[in-house]
Amino acid sequence: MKAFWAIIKITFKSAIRSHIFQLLLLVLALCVVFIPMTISGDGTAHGFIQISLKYSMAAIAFVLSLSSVWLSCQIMSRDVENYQLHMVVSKPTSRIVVWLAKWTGVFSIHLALLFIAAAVVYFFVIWQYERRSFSEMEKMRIDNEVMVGRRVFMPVLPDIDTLARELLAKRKARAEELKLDFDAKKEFRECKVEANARFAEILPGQLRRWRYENLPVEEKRPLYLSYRFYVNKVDSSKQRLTHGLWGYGQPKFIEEKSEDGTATKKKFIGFDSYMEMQPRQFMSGVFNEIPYPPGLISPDGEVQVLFVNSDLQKSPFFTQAADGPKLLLKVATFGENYFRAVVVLSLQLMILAGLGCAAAAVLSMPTAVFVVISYLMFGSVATYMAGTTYFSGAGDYIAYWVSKVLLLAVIPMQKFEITNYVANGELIELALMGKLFLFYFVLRALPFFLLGMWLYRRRELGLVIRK
Amino acid sequence: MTENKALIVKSVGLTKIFRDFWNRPKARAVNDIDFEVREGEVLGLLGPNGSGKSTTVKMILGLLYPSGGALSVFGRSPRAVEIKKNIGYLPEESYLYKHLTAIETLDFFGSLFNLSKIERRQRSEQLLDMVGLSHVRRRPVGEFSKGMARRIGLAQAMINDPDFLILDEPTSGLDPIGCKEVKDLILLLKKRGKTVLITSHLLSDVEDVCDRAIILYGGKIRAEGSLNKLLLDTDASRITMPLLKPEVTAKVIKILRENLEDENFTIDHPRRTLEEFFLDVVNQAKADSVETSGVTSGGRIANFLSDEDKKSSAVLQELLGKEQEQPSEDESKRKKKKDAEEAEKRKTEVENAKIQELTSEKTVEAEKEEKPKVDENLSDADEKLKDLLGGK
Repeated sequence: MKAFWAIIKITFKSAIRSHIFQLLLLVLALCVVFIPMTISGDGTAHGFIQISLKYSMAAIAFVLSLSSVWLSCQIMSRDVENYQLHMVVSKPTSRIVVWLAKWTGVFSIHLALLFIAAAVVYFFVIWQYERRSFSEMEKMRIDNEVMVGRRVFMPVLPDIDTLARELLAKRKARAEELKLDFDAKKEFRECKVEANARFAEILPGQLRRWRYENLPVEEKRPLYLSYRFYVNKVDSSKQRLTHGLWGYGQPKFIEEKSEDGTATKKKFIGFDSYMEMQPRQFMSGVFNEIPYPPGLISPDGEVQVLFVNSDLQKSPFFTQAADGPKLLLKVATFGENYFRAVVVLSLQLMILAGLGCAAAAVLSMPTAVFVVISYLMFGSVATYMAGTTYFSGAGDYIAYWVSKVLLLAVIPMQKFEITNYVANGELIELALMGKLFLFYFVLRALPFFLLGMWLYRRRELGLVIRK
Repeated sequence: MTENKALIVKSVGLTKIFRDFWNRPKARAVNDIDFEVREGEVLGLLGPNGSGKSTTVKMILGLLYPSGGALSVFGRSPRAVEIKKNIGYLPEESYLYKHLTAIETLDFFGSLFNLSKIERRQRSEQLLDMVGLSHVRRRPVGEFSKGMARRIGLAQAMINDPDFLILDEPTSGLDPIGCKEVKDLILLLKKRGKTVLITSHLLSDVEDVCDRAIILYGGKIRAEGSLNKLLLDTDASRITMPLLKPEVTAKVIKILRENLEDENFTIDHPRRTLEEFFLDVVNQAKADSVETSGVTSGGRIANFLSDEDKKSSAVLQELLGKEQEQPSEDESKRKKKKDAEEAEKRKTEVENAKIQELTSEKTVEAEKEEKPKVDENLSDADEKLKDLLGGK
């Protein structure tokens, strides 16, 4: 263990002397100090806090990620290229220990920086919240919508395949009637696209009902509905103020006498629909929230939400599956949620440092950086391509399947994007953290680490030409 | 006798072929060589640039893998981590972490040997003292001159008190005092039963300390054996004696002429090497307390490398054991006398060994230097003799 700690220590010292690392450190310091100080927000108090959190955390994550990749590649390859590693491996220290120590060293230094930066941002946000003269109403909104950890409940999705099959049957009947050629596979794909589009679209005057399940029955705190609708098309530009009428399902009970007739008990028999008196005005293209009173949860943990498109210009609304609308329920404090975000970022840095070390175990510094960045880009692009439902030709199919195969090996780093969770007061679930750890650290990153260690152990260090 | 000693390195048909990107053979750096390094010997690996010395050393250290043949170090694969506990390595250039200070460098390499903090500190201090860098212990090694870097490199190679020391050009960049200290150190290590493998271009250095040499050229062994065997010229004789009177010299020449017939011979004054002269001058300067800003001559062997450490522990043990039972005055006297006798005996042994060593080396050196020249005739010899005798 003495050798392990000695290499970690020397990794620290080498890191601090790296000019690129020093530059990134400066950028990090600027991000941490200047972003929260210079942000003006969207004019609202909760918007200010949200944007402060979002931008600061995103900047920290970006700078530290870049630094992790760069430094890990540099630390690993420079020792080999300068022959300093000759001196180390001619001592009784296995190369596996050297690899692990260097990885631990790079990760630890970034972990320490992450904790420092995150702590500065956290206390800065708290300080701003205390210092600024926000009204009680604004503070309450911040407490309920931003500086909180709320569990997210997504609406029960319709079975798109069933809907698509229904549409397909209609098309087939029509084709038979008109004696037209019918390509079942192609038609089914189109039906699926149509079914998705129908679900995503809310026509003017149309009533849409969302159902939520598995909510805690005994919950006495208010629920928050978070939604984002786009007017005319899913595009952040050309969005405007619009109107919608919201409602909810009130659980309905009847009194039921017991068999002996001495006592009565309530029996849930369904929901009564209640609509608001007037349409609400809201901004399309951004998230909005509505508080709901407690008591909407049925005895089987179900909640129903109703909505009518009341746009004055009679435009359709579009929503994305990831936007819900989501039902939010406070379960944790802001500090707890923030800490979870830092843990997820730590996991991200751990993976990036490991990938850098694995690549630089056998490659030179610039090649290793290029390989890691390419790997991460493949991860990002493959996610989108594998999720496509539109195919215009053979190229699309090839790209689709290549992406599917790539996703078995690459890590889509956008899955580690948690700044929105924190900024929106959404709880980073332990299940999500576990999933990230299992699927991306254990099943994707760890095999690469092991491969890197194996190659490092087998590498003929004497073949490297000294620089 | 050597054959009975344990094998440290054994190479059979050792071959190293460097290949290009497409795995096509590019160069055969080492070509089917067989050699052995046995416990307690000092072996010189000699050869011009590109002869395969460094490749061989790198294979012994497990930095390169053989393309053919077999190589074992301490009976195991050179890649085995365990064997490295017993190896010390000084590379041909300073591959140290430049931002670390001298003391940090030794501490770091000590940690790689899993030495305790106290042990690391003690050894580092002793080694710095030994290589004459105590006064720059807090200076980053990146600021060191080449000679100082060699010294700190040498110190790190000995932090684990290795049984097998691999020294790649150990004296390159060192001043004559440093060279002598390194050579003395190698001889001391040899005396302690350590095995040393030296590669060097400075052949005189190798000659001073090596028992055996292997000369490589083009990746093959061209000559191998003990230095006496390789360098002794049995076709010539040399007699060294105090300065002769002119008439005695004339008699000697007469006798030689009568016996050597037409063969050439030379008579001249023995000449000191420049190194010997230089060391005398510096030692004189030291005796006169002249100040220097460079490396202070170390030379004091680190306790853990010499027997002093063990002796002091033994004395300590003895003292502790005798705390309860104080020896009588007679016993103390006897003990002192015995110790003095032993010390005297050790001193004599060392001196004898040194005289023997110096005598044999000088003989070889003189024989080499004074090889008869074919074109020198007797009249030349007469001229020289006249010069020596002051033109008489």
